[in-house]
Amino acid sequence: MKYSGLKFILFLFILSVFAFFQASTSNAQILYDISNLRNQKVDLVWSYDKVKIEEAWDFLKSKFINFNFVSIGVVDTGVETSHQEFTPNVNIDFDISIDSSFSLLNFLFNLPNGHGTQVAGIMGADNKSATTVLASNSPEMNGIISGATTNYKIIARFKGTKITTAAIDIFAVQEAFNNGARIINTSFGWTKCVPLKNIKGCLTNGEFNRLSDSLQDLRTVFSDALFIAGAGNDSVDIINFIPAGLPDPDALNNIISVSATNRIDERAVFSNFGSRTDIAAPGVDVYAPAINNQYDTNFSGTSASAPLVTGVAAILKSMFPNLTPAEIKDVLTKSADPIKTDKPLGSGCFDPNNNPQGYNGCRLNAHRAVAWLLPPTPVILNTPIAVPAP
Amino acid sequence: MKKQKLLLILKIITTGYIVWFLWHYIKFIQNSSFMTLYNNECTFLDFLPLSYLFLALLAFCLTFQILTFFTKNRRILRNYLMVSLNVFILLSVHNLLQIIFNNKSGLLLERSLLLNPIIPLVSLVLIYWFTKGQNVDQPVDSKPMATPTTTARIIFFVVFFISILAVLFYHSFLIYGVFSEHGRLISEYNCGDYPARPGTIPGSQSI
Repeated sequence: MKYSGLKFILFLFILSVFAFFQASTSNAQILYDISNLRNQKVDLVWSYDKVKIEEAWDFLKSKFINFNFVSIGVVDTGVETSHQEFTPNVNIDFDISIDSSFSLLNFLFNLPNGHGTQVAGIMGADNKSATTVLASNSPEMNGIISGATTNYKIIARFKGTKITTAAIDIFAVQEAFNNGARIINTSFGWTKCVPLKNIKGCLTNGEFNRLSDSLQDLRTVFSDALFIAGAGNDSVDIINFIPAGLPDPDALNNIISVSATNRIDERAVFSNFGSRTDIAAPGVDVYAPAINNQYDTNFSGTSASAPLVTGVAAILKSMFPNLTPAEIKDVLTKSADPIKTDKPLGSGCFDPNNNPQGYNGCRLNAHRAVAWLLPPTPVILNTPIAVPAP
Repeated sequence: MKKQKLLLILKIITTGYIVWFLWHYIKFIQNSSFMTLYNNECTFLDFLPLSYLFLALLAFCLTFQILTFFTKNRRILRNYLMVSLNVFILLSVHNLLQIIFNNKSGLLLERSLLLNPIIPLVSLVLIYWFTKGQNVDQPVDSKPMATPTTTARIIFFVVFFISILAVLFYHSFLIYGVFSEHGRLISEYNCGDYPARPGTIPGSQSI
């Protein structure tokens, strides 16, 4: 009892030293380690390797970048906030924790289970390896952004379902925007009914056109935000799918439509395609968190591709907060790797008028994207855009 | 006499509310097609800032009217009023707490989405539970309109009927995004200067 006051002061001192240390290192370069995933029998990180995300993390670490805070919107089915990859109020802000098999709402409305958890996890799962040594067989992963910085938050908002109206999807986007998200992942959409194609839940021409008008208005209202939209999984031209297939007015270049590729850089059989596609990213058997604190080794769809691009877009936004949506889109598409696919999957990464190699697609290259705006500016196949002040 | 006056006042208020509600509802239907709600002005929703409470009130008023039509047993009516009052207080407190401590509209939306159909169902269970154990053979001041068993049955079926109606009513509107809390908040967004409205197009599919 005699020394209790002294002990308390000592405790406070240690605490303040610890807090100071934490604060001073919040912007420091963080470590990552995904060797635990490489130790597995199945190749879980092929998508990481394909988009060269480890090279990107290493590159950023070597440059001692000061990352600014960035909010990433995930308009989806919600998230399982009890998952070990998410720390509520630290790396994720959610409106409802609906994405769980125990949810009454899931039971009542037969909502898709786990989609939002998977999408949010790919881009922003916690980087536990930065602070703890993971067991060699641990399933824990890194989000695309968490390997570069911890200075981010995912704003997860619940979108509508098949029994609600499209207005609710729009409302969810608005909510994400109002909560500060300027990089917004939209792994959802509507398909127009196409002759000779049996597409479940497709829209009539009238509905499709009306909704297209709505969404065009929406992107005008939220012109500060960059939307990363999955291209859709119906293997049709993307002009039949919104929001990814919305035409890009010159003044409003704020949607990146992302199609899916496989391990050998071919178009995934299900992926939508077409001249309005901006970029492709791995979308077959992508490793992602799943509900019930599990992990999914075969998450497939353009929903899996979009968050890979979103993660890199968020890193860019974090590096250069003043970048406009159009500039981020420009960097991502121009820095992508040209690929040869059966259908067009973006053309920003090569010169379409001078293309003897016959490229017709661009696959995300995170390393080149994050290096694009840092000196020396790489000159790949196109003239680089102006370098903004960091 | 005092109690009879109170009953009369309640009857007038509930009738007034039902008329008020129906008048706005008919006006709303006349002004806009049900199927193309969001292509028209959302006038009715503007009148209903807390739509689920208005709906619950409607269910309460209708049930009260039907009960008073079928029975003069004041104990039953009193039980019904007490239960309804409790449910409303609980609901209001719950929502108030949600607003104060959570400030998360999404959460509030989902809760209210669930509570809407639950309100009449909770009332149903509570009323039946309250009524079955009581000696309704001995009404306070008037002879019963029916035998106890029949009275209990009538109450049960009336409330059950109202509950089913309310649930159907609610869900039919939920699908079109009207009357629900979602509908209200979306109407704030859609009834502004925003030029194009998505209408009754179904929600998106995850890809």
